[in-house]
Amino acid sequence: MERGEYMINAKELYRYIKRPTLIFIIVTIIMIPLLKIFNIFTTDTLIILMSFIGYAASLNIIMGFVGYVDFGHSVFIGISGYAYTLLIWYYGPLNILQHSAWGVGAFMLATLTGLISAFIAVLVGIPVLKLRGAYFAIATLGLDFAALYVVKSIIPALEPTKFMAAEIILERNMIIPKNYIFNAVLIAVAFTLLANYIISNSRFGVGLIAIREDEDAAEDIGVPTTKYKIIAYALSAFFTGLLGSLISLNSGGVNEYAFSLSHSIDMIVMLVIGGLGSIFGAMLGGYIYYWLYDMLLVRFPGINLIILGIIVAAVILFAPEGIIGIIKKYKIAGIRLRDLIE
Amino acid sequence: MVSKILIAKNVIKRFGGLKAVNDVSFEVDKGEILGLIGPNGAGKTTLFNCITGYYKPENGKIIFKGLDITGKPPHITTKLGIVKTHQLVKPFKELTVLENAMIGALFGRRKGITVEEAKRIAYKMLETVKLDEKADEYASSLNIHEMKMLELARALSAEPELLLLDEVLAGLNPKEISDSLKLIKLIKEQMNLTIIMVEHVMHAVMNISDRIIVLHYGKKIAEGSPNEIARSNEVITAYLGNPELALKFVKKTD
Repeated sequence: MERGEYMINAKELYRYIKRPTLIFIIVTIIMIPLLKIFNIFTTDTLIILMSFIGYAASLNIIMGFVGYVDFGHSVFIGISGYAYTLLIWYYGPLNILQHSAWGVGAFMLATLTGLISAFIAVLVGIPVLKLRGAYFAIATLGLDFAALYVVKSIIPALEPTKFMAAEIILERNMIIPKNYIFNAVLIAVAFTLLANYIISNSRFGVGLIAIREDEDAAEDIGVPTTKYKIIAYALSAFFTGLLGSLISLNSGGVNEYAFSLSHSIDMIVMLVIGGLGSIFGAMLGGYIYYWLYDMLLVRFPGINLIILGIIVAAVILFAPEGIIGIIKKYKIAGIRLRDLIE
Repeated sequence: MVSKILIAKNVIKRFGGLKAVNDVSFEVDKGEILGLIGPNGAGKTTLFNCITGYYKPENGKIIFKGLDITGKPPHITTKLGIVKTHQLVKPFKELTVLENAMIGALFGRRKGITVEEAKRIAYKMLETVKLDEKADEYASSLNIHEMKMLELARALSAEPELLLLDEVLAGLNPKEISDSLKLIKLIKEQMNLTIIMVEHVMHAVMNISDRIIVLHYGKKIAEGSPNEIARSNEVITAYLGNPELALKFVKKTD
């Protein structure tokens, strides 16, 4: 009898499982434009906030699901940022495209540059994903620096009179209205979150989690680990690049700061605060980090990063699984919260 | 080809200068339990890893059901029907017991399996190893015996034809050992399995195996029925030690 009951319970539970996440994603995506319409936050604030959530969610694919800590993920912000800026600089038709359809055109162009990042992730991932743990983190860090130096030597050579060092400042006709950028970023974040959702509910996602838990055991039980890792890395790079290129457009150009290690650290910290491997965690982490960063900068200018560092250290010490990790342990009405939020 | 499920020919695997597996050849009949014994470091686990494809042997061929699988990676050999359990248990700790077994079913031999089906198979396997009551608990909360059983359930959920058991009995108490032996016999009958097992618990392996292969420093030094192995001088000097004790193991089984 007990067994039968369990089966029914498991089935019923399964119907509820995962749906709340989807509802939460949809609500978030609807909420953001409302915040803008009712002037609760400025458009600029929302763009940055969305990019934080999107970055956290995109890194979540490789770091949260697969468990590979990527210290050089900002390389994809850089690659896509430069790709986007150069494309609209040199190809008129693409400039027309990005001005079209209230930002959908810009989103499409960003998709293209995201694909460039994904392609590079595949090329790099084939050798680098053979490394594990700290070795992978260091290799990705190296990738970031290598890409930065390549860009630094190529960009000034393209048009020495116009591009000082590796900086490209877009001309006025190449920048689209803020509202358009807002729309494009919103679409990009929506896709990033939905991709996370789809992955976490798929056989592919289950395989990624198995890799995180124990890579050898996963391979032995039939998970094509090499292939899955490369796909996950490419997807993660794609979404980071997608957002990164739009953010470079938002700042009116691109410079070597796009490759900055601080972006990578930001993304990692957001995920760690929120909780690795969970979409809720990525969203929560992105939001909290944005709020913390802003608050500390205003209240404690000068020592804001020190305080932030202490907070991050405290999170790692006392709640290594992030906020979601704490919530996960509790039950409401016999339903484990873990089942609801994963 | 039909009756021989696995053929290993002249398999050599080196680690630097050490030949961990040195020119080993053997055949496995469909439906038998083959014991693989030998001192620590004899190359038993390495041989397993060559079969599953975790290592690519430098020389030799491994043929499974007439198909050359030498050097094919583990996820492919798993889909063909070879699944291995680990000597040091490797559960997916942050997942529940049921989810652990489900992963076995989702990535195992059956193609295009739905989540519901995977859940059913996983649950059935957990029942077989008597872990169904813990299906909802985290794998990290299990004790060592339960983790070994989970390892077995996860492997079985992949619906293998050839099951490689790497010291499933190590560290268990006598009652757990006799229970596990019964269980292994049962699943072998139920699921139509062929089993190769590496084991140090002598009376258990002598009891359950149809045939035994003895490895010593990577070389195969003997092959035969448990009776023959217990009487082989070479095996006694290399591994069993005391001839009287060796015979006792076999007697226990009779």
